[in-house]
Amino acid sequence: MPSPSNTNIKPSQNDLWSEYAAKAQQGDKVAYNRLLREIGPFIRNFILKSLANPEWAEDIMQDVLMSVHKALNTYSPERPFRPWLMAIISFRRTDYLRKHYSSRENMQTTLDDFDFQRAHVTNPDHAGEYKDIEAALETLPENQRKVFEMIKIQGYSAKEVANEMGMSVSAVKVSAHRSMKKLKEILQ
Amino acid sequence: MSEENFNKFIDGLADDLEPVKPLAHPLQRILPFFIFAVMYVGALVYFVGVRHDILNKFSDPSFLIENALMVFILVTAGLSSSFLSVPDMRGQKWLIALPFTGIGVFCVWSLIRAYTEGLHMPQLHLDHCMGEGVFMAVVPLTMVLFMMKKGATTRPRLTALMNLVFAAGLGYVGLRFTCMMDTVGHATISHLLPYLAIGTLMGMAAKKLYKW
Repeated sequence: MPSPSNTNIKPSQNDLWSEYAAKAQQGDKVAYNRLLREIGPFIRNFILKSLANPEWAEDIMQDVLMSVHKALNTYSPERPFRPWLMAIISFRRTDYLRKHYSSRENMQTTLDDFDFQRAHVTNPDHAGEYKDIEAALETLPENQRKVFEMIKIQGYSAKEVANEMGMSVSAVKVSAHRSMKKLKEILQ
Repeated sequence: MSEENFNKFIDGLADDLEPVKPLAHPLQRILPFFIFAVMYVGALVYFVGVRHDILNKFSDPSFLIENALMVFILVTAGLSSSFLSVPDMRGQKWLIALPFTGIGVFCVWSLIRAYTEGLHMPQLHLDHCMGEGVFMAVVPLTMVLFMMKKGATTRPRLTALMNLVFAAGLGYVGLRFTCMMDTVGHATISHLLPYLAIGTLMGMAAKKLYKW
């Protein structure tokens, strides 16, 4: 699939899309083919930024292109093409995500099913909040981070962590509390 | 999607292309519906019977303000409906603010009237105004739904609301010309409540109603 370097379009490109769309309304299949080929990658790259799973972008792009096809008569040739397209992109993306998150299959999975996870579970590489948390954890001193991870992420008790780290139970609790406070400050 | 599948998909859509006539300007589209809807409500008012004190009412500021507000609301809701039938609303999103403002002012006006004149809330029962109001609104509503089907809205619930406000506004004004009960309570229960019920149903079915 062709992939433009970014989703910013120049004014001349917008004019070109308007021209293609106007010709497509008159039945010009070549112009329509060009229009769809150009807006396809634009749509995908635009929505990719806001999705947790990049594979959804392909589905949404298809939905948008189908919608463009169905609603071509609602485009007004004297108006710019981009706002019309963006309204459809926004509508279809919201629609897709709403359906996706409301379907029951998203409520259950097993940790062994990697295909399922890839398709339905948020990919940490694309989720900004995970990156933020990881970056915030990096700011903690090593011992403090280890205590925090053992208690809050791995689920060990304060006593177990104290034995492992050679600290008192109260020191472990204080350390975890301070870490949590610091992370909150960083992430807010 | 692989490049080959993408190409096939695009080629399929392009092969499927038929010449289409661009939708007329929203103002042009709503105008015939609006004229027909006004004529329809006018005819119904005539058949149901114009209230006997209508000439006196034309010198009643409260009656005039109430109807002027409702006309403003229904006209702006009709315009908003028409623009909502295009995905980007032709850049006229500000239009949506007008009916909402009108509704807000109408509510404040009704509250002031209720405070000064009294609410006079009637018992909840099936009133002939309810039936007549629904009858007055159902044809304009059907017409505006038909108009929406020619377009493609990206905001189905808002569209449902605007369509209903347009039709309900027409029905409400029609009822003010037939019903002699001028109290806020009667207007709320017998004139507006049926539209709220229809609106609730339309809101729930909006996504299917305006699917494209």
